[in-house]
Amino acid sequence: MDQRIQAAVNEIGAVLLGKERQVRLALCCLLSGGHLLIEDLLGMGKTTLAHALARVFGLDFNRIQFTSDLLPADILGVSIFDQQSGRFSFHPGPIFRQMILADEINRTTPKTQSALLEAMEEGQVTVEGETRRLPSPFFVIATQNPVSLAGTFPLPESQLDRFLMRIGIGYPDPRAERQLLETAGERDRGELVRQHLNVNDLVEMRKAAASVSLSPQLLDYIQRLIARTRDSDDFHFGLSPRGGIAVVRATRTWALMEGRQHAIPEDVQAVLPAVVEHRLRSGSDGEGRSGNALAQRLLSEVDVF
Amino acid sequence: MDVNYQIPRLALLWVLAALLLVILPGMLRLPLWILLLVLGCMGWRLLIFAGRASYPGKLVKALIVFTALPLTVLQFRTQGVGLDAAVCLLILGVVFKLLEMQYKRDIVIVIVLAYVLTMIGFIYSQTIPSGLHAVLAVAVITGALVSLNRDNARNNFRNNARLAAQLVLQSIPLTLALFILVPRIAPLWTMPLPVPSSTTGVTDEMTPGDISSLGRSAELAFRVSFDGEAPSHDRLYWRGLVLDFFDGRTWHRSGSTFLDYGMIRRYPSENRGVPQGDPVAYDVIMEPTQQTWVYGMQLAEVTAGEIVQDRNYSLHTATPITQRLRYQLRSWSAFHTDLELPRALRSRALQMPEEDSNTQSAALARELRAASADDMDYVTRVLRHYREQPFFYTLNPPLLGEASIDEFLFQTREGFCEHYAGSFVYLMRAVGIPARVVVGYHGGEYNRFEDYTMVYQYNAHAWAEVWFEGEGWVRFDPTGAVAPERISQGVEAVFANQPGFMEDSGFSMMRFRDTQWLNTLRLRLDAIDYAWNRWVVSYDQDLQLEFLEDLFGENARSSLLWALGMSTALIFSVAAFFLLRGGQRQLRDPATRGYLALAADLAAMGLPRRTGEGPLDYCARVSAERPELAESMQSVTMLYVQLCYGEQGVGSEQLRQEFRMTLQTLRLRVLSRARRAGLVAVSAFSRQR
Repeated sequence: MDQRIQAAVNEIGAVLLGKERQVRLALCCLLSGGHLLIEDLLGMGKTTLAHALARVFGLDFNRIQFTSDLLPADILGVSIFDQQSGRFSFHPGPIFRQMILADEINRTTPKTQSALLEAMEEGQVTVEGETRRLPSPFFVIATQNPVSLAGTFPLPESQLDRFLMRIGIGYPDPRAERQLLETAGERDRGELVRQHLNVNDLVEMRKAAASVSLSPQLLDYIQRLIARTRDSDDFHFGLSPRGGIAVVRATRTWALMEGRQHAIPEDVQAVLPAVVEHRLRSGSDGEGRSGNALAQRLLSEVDVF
Repeated sequence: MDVNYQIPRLALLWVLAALLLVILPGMLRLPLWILLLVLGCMGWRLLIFAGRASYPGKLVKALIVFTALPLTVLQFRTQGVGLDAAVCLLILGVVFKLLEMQYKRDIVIVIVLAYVLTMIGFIYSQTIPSGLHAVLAVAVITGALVSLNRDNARNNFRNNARLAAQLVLQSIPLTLALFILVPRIAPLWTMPLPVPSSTTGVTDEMTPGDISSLGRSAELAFRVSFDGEAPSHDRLYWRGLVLDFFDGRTWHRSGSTFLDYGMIRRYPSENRGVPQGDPVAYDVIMEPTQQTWVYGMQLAEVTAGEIVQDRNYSLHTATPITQRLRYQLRSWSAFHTDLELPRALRSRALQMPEEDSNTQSAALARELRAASADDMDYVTRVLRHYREQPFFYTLNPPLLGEASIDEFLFQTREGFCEHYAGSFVYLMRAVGIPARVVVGYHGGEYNRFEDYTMVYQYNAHAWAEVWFEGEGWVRFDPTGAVAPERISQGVEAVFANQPGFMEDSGFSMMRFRDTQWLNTLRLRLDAIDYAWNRWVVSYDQDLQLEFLEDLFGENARSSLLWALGMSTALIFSVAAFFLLRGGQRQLRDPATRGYLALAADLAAMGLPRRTGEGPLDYCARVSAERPELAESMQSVTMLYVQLCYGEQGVGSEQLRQEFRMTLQTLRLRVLSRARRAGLVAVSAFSRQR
């Protein structure tokens, strides 16, 4: 299992150069069964990463490019009157796939964004009064531009909360950059990614993660972290219980990916920024949009013991 | 500046509440239209917030200001540029500011002004309730500040109130230290305080009926605490003014430069009294009277306070007493005063009214004098006359006509102390014996809770002083001849059931003094008030020095700044300790304790564990910095992680043992030689046990 995860990391790493940590986080997110939000500037490789992730799991996936005129029906599907049979027949939208790559999700209107809401949380969609189950597993990997860019609709907090992790990618380091420039022109490297994991791995991983042991000391640590977000004036509001559960989920998977059957504080610290930053807001920032660097501060202020 | 800034609703409500709280107590002193203006401005502000009204335009603002300004001037024109007018203008300024409060900085100005208004309250009142009110006001204003600056989901009434209360409570130790230790500097200028027109207490003239009307009042006159044993009740003659001019009906002070404070200051009178024996020292806190004289026991010497003594041994202040006044005296009970009576004083002490219709009295005086051997015998005969004739001591004497002395001595024969003192002095003067009336207080109630004596207005008294060759002035109290219990037990004992006594005091607690627990409660409350006045309100440079000398001995003055710095540092370090410690620390398991001890050892080596650094990260850092420790550090860390975070059941006794051993070895390597020896000793000791 470990080897296959490592192989998957390497496989994606060959596409997204020098970003092993981000790749591991993204894998951790999907292995925990959570939805992933990738946020960064244009052209940083968000879509490449998403593509590579989809391919490495060999999942049946669909890419939806979100635009400002996209409507909920464009995603969920519509019923169309069939003249031959004389009945309405449902034409499922692109969402009925195991993995959705929601590209530039914040380019679309809140109405369409919220169409994803039920899908992400419940694994089902309701179209024209009829509830339909989505395939299982069901993942959403969304990419978005930083909100300050023009022509974007910031995701509402309720929507953000449904992503297990939000990761950024960042500029490549000089060595990776050089390699990138040298091989420039080989279009669509994402297509080269081979499948290393499958649906069974996902199920197995989820089962194994559930048995990762969390010692009382570790839970104390997580609780202290959560309490800090609620008590301190540095934060506009505290972490919700769902946020706390998300931290534990990701921590378990991360420990497993590290080859351990027990979680240690370093696991929490590895996943915490990705898991909580989009759920927090700085206390001094009334209508603030992001919790950048807040998690790092949280980690440096709350002691492990 | 953010043009879209909206003052938060909660902050606005807090500010309005704070302003109301600060302004309302002062409202009693201010005219009604100002109250209406204040409420009007607050209402307008609320309407602005609700979107029902707009901010006033330039014209309206100008109109309001230029109407209110002349109105204020008009209102206070009789008092000139006084404190009231200034306070009034400040209040108006604050409430007008409410109307143009748009940005955060405006509301901050209002909040700061509210703090200033709280301080101004102390100019008017320095009682315990006003102190508590100020603390409450500060808490509410702080609440407004918290609510203005806290911009998140925790911004609700309860959280803000709690934080404000916390801040106020936390500031108390520092406040106390500053109060006690900051050098007291005399004010550079004095505030022209408005003088209430009505005076209280004993006045500087005495007409029959004056003092008995004081008997209706149970208000406090002054409080005295003696150094050591208090003198017995019958010796508590609180001497006030000497009244030596009689116009046939009323006794006055004879006008004289003797009585001018400045003159006495510049030319202190000679011919002081000759004290005998040991003095008793005492400390007086006097209620405001709006008068310029104070009380003490004859023969007094001023030991502290801005007080002078005039030629008649009365005590004076420079300005009317508008606030509680504290002074210290010492008095001798045995003394001689004015063994040589100057001619001017003698003629004053013999003055008789120009149109004297008290013929019967004069005749009585001559008759009694003729029967007496000498002046002293005559005095005894006069006193016996009061005692043996049917004279009554009463709080409700009948009114007297033109020849008041005659009417009293021969017809009504019912009187209060002023009747007895006045007629007695008249009888002395009628036969050429120098005598004068003295007004003041007699007696007082002892409060055992704080060891002091309370003197009330109903303790007001009048008595006489007669001058004898070779003796000087001698005090005689003709009231004592009529009602001896008045002198020995006090006026309360005599009049407790007489109508009129303490009548003006309504439901004063004094009236329930017979109920044991109520009386105890009354004495306790008064004791608290007294302690407050003695130690807080009148805490000045002298008291501060005295207090510090008690603490630090002789060179208190030089240690003052030292003490100030130390206590401030102490308070801040206690605060810092609690802040940095980061709140609660629960008891840890032995493994973590051992691990943290190792971290402490490594910190001594210059490799401290960072806050929030996990064991593996720390191990990696230590290994990188100190490769020679890497191996054992890694094994300790792995064992610790197993123990602390490993799967349940793995933390067996064997693992614990192994961890202890490895830890011990590593610590021994890390430790300095001296501490290593200590650790070996400790572990050897624990092994033996």
